Amino acid sequence: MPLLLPNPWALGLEVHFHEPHDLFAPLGIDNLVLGEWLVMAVLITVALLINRRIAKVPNTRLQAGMEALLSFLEGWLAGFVGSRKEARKYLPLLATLFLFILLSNYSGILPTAGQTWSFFPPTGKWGTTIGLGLVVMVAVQVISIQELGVKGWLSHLLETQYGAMAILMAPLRILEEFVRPFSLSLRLFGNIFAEEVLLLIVSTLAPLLAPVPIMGLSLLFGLIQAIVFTTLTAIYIGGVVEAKAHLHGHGHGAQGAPAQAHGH
Amino acid sequence: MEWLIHALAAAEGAAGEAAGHGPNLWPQLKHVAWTFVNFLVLLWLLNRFLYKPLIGMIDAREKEIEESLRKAAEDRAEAERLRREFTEQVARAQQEAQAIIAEATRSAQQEADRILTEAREKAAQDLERAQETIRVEKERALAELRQEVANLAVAVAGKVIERSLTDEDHARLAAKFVEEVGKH
Repeated sequence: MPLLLPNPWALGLEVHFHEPHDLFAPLGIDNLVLGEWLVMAVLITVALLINRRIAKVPNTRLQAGMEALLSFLEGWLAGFVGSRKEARKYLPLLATLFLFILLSNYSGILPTAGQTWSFFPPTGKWGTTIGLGLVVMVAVQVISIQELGVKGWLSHLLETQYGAMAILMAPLRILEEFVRPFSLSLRLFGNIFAEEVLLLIVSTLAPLLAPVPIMGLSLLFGLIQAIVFTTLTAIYIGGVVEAKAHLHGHGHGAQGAPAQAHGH
Repeated sequence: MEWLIHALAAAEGAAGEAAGHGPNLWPQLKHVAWTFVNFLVLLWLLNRFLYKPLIGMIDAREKEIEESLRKAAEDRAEAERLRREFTEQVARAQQEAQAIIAEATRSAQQEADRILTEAREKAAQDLERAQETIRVEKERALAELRQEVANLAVAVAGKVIERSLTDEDHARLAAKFVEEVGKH
């Protein structure tokens, strides 16, 4: 059922906005899930195309382009994760976030995207971005446990390094873990949704060429938002990597036992 | 900002009631859950078909380039070493060749000298032998001539004195004649 968004500038125009449209209710599959699948399908198709003709020396532009993109991401994210080696380790997660968000943002430029029930750019819906935020939150906890061990993870989470002050610090620290997916998801969703609304309003007011500059801007903002989301995730992972380095530094310092225990 | 207020107001109410005010901005749990699952599936698929093979290729290529550079440096060092070795060998071979040529020239000269000397000696010997032979032959010829002359003389004398000489006389006279001729 279409919802009518009153024109913010009171010009008497009606902007049509579309609600989720159930496609297979028992599994909760609606047009938003389908939208995500379409974005995924494009990425998986590209992956399979590259995979089919992969070579040590790239012989397709697709492979060369993807390698260049991954190298750029690795180099960019290395500064936040800690090192190029660590960046490469977490590249699958970070690059998938980047690619999915970027393509999703850009899908808003497709004709009729957001204006009929058929397709809505996934990142323009809060549900999608919360899902991604939760993935990041869970991934950071999993990486923490992997890198620091359960004990290290708990002490990292509860800030036991501050001794008695941890009583004050731990609640804030735990709150931070929950604020992260919230802020990540709201930032991304807010930007893309606003962009969609803007495009919708401009196309309603002046359908032909007027939206083109907005589309140009949305290409830029779509890229920036994808980079911001990925970079923040890299910073969260970097926090774990730093905690690990700290743990090791501590272990190799005055207290010999933890280092030896770790050595085994 | 009015539209945003409308939108938020709409979001607070049920979707149906919100009709005419703005879109429902609130997330749906099923959508969040689907996104979570979808992303994990996408992560797994891309990791399986894109990142792992691609990073593997990049690694393999980096390793190969490193290996090639290392090998090139090794090869260059090896080539330099071989070049120096060959240069040394060539120099040594040249020296040896020079020595061999010098030796060969020297021994050829010696041989030539020897052959020449031998030839000269042999020539001298031959000459001497020839002269000796000539001398002997000449003497033998002279002796024979004397003998013949003596015989003739005796025969002539026999004729002159009209008396045939016996063979014994003949021989004696001839020998005497020869002896006298030989004294001259």
